[in-house]
Amino acid sequence: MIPVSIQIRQALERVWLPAMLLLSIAIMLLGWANQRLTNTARMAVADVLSPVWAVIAEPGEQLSAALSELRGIGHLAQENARLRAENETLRGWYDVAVSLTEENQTLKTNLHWMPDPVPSFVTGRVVGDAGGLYSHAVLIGAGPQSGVRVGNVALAASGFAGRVTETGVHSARILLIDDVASRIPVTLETSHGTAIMAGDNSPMPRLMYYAQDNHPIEGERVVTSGQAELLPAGLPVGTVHYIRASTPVVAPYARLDHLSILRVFDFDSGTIDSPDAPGRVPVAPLRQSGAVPGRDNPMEGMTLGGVVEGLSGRALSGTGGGGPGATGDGNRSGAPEAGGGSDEDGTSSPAGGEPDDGGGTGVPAARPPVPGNG
Amino acid sequence: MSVDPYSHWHSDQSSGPALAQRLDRLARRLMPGGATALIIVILAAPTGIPGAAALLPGLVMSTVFFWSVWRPASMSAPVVFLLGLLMDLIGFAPPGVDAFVLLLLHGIAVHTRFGLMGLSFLAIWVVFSVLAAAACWLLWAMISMLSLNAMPTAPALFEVLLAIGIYPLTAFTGMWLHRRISNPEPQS
Repeated sequence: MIPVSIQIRQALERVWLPAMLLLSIAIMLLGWANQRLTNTARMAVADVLSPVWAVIAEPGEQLSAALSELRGIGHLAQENARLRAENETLRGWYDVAVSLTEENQTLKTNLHWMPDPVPSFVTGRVVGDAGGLYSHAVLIGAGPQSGVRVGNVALAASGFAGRVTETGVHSARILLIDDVASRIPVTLETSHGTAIMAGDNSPMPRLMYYAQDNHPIEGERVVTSGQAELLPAGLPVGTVHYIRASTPVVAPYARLDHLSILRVFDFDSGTIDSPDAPGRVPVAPLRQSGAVPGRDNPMEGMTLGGVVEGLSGRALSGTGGGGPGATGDGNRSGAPEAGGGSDEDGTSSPAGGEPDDGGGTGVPAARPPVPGNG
Repeated sequence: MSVDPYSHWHSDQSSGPALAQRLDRLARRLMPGGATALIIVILAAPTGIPGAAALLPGLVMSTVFFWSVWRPASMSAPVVFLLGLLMDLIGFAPPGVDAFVLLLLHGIAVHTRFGLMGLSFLAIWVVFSVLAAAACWLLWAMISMLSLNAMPTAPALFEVLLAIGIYPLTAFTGMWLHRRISNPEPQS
């Protein structure tokens, strides 16, 4: 638009293309060498665009909801019958679940089960597809301002979805478990084996590095394993499926291609440190730092149902009994006594015990709040 | 700087209509690039369009190719570069890769445009198909190289097919826009 002569303009037009090609190569090299700069630039763009995407996604969601409603009207009676049958079955399962929960609770009380800390979580809407062709990731509209940090765990309604890899100002990118860069340590519930779930950009991640004498069983549940200290144990991931002989994959519970709302949990799993001196009886309670905000209530492991129950249980325990802050303090002050040996743990805890045994000695110290809840 | 054909005309007119006209011309000129940028942003939103991630490169490639052939003034190298960079940043690809590939495509299209414009639609489609396939595989190779990890080939193949399939749609829409809406006065 600036008036320039035709000669200059033609010369400029000849120079533009090579200049831009060189610039793109420079950016490629720069982005390759300095990943942090790249991530900052990407998250800045995502931060700017995430409100726009949220606006765009709104009518689309309404449209798809309306469409599914229309589709549902067609076979309403059929659907009704199916739901009634399912409700019947589920009611049976509900009874089973209630009795099993109670049994589990009793067993845990008898075993002086170390309650897991209740994780804090935020819920965010998926505002964008941050994956592209060769990776599977989503962008959610919640960032560090809401407490989302890199390494947090994202759960969809039905199961484990991914982990937070980058955060912007008010958005965060979540790498899904079917991405080619995703490696998740998992436990197989029926065969009790462990494996690595490796994404390969297909909808079903592969299972790798399982023991050769303990193959995964078709249809068994796959949950996360707490081994790498990246993730809490027991988050539901999916079920094992053999697409070919000797090629086990995981069919994820979460619908990874239709994610709309994700809960991002801060499990604070980095705080579990193994004792530094091998000959010493560890006196510090295992979960002390995790239980600091006064949240040491019995939580049924980190399963989805457990999280929900744990939260409701916390509400109950908060209304009745001793204050949670007091139990937290008791936990901390009681710790040295546990090392000295109270009457219950006198039998266990040899001096050269493994870190797991150390956890066992820490249990009685943290136990006092448990009977109050039970 | 030296000879502005409109300089005598500017001097005795108030700047109002001239400014409006210039803005109008600028808007028309930037329309293809702007529309493409809008498509990139919209396709990254969770709209539920199946295969949106695989469709995007083909759609952008066909748009860049079309406008580079028929009106390079509207799809200049800086615009192509910015579009590629936007795609890279939104799609979390290694930055600069899409920009590089799109610029190559743009360069080839601009340099062969007088030959291409004489061809029939089907012939141009065939040329574009070959170029898009090459571009998609180049993209695949570069992303694999930069992430030090061989990417799966199935999405690349899908991407090529979608690029070839979307070209007629882009070309017809572009033709219509070219004739009807964005036909500014010749720029240079």
